[in-house]
Amino acid sequence: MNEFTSNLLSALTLRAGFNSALVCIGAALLGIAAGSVGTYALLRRRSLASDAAGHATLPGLVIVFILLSWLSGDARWVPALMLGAACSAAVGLASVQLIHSRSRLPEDAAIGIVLSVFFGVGIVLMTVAQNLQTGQQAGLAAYLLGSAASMLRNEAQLIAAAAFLLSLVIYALRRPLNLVCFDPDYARVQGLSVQRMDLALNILLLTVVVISLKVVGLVLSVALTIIPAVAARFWTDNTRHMVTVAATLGGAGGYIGAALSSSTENLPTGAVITLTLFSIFLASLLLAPARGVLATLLRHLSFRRRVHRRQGLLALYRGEPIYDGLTLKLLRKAAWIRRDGVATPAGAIAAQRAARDEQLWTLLRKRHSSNKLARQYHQLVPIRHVLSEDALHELERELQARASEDQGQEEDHGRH
Amino acid sequence: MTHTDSAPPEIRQDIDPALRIDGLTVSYGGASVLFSVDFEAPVGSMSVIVGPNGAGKSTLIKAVLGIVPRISGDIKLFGLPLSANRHRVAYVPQRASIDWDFPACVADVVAMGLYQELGLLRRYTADHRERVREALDRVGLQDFAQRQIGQLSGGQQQRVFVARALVQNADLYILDEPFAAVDAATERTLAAVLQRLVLNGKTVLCVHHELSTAADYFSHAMLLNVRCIAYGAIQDVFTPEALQETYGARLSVEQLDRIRHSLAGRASPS
Repeated sequence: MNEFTSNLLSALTLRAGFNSALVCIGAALLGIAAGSVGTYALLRRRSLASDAAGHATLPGLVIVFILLSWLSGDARWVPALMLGAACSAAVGLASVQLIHSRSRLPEDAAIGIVLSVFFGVGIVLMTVAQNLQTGQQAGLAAYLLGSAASMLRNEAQLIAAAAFLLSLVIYALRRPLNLVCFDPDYARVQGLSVQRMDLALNILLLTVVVISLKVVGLVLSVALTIIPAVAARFWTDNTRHMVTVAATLGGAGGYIGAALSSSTENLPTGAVITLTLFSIFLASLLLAPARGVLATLLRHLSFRRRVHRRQGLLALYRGEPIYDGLTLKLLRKAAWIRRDGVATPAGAIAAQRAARDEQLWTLLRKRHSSNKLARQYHQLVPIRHVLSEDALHELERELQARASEDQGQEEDHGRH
Repeated sequence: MTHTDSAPPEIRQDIDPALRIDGLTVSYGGASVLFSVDFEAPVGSMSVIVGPNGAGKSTLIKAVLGIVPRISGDIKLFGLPLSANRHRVAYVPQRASIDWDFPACVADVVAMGLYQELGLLRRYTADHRERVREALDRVGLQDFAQRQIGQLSGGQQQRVFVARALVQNADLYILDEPFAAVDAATERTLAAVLQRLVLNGKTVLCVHHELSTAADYFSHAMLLNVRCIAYGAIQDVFTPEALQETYGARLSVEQLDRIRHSLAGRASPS
């Protein structure tokens, strides 16, 4: 085992020292909170608002940093820095709202303006801060891309408390948030203030961004809210489950990412967590059972084969020639036809069975027309999987009776 | 204004109407979308709002429900403003207004109609579940409760919205184009559901795009084209003059004939 893997293993099992354990747990809790808030942000189509909030924290951070170093000489008093970040992010989000509602600009354009301008102002202020004689400017740079290694015990405690509080608020607001995300007009008629719910969602996003500054940094904080939520969407069709899944994926991404970054020197935590979350997203995109890309592709291919087999067998039954390459290949593979296209004995039986299934289905659908039956029929489900044995026997008897009736009529017809 | 008082006998005039609109004006930018509209839907009526495209039909019900702001005018539901009577009103929006890929199943959407009862934290009980099931039953979607809403056909989506309104057990049902682009079976089911509501003393108000079938379903009507041309019992409102005034040259002779015919069909059995 090389050094990296042994480091990683001890980090993942929280045995890599107190500080590393602190960072892993803090990042996991942060991921849980960000995942659940991010789900509602995604469903409300406000994911990018958290990016605006992230970048808009910078001016506040730097202003508080400068004030602190003037006033006290120690510019790293975390609560004040976070308060500054929160205030300037709030101003940023309010500006987005204002630009969007007062002009005809779409929200994404408003977000683009606010994000770049606030970040630009922040960078200019940072240059001012660089010229101060505090020698603590490195602490400021850590907030850009995150520097979890320097996380203190009380910072981890703050993250834990905020994450717990956020989860409670999300639970309490799940119904109105759900209503506003699904159909804002309807929510309004139910007496909900959409504006107030959007404000609540903004405050939740802002809190996530502020507590994530030390871990992932303000530039990448958006990854924590967007990626777990979009990954979760692949695994479920239910909003409540989606919140749980996003929280779990976010927590796992934060935990593993933090462990990875603490196992080697100089790997920025924010970037590593973002890449870990991206791997989780990629796995979800490809592997999720219902909505994943692979599952969809496999379902499509397997249904196509079933359609071709069924069409081929019905053509065999009617004695029609088959030209389609895939149909021929599938029938040959099942040993239903010979090389020259003539049906084998097994093929003849299978063809008969397919035709019979089709006739039974036609008869059944004449007797009962329900949406469920129609769907099963179009999915080519064999009728013996749909009906009980007794019902199937009865249907077969009726088919027999009708067939002999038809025959009788034909004979009658021939006689006259 | 050709308001008439010849209401069918089951309509009670001595109580506050389900909906009364006085001088409602709504504008976007500098132009009025609705101008000084008056309207009354008596309790137990099945009313329809008809008018050409851009007449402000959807805007009217959105203004009534407080979704779009109004410049002037007074709106009373059962004699009270909306804020005091929210629980008595159920709204069925246009189906196209939402994203049907939203992660929710049919039962989840119908349960949204219970929000005013459940609030933030009250428990969703077996009784609520039963009411959701019953509402789905009434619109013929009992087998679809757990289906993802994106997999539904247009007609089924419309029924889900109606079920969500039914579960609310309101007194006034306001529907925006419930029969738009749905299959014939859905139109029949929904019309029967609405008629049953009216039989039980509820009030129904629909925006309806198809002028020629309006007389088949509705007892009262409002002709709207930014201004209210006429309202009242449908046979009094649907006069050739009023229809022509509402639709201008857009109304064909065939359409007028068809309306006259179906109004005559309504009158003869009674």
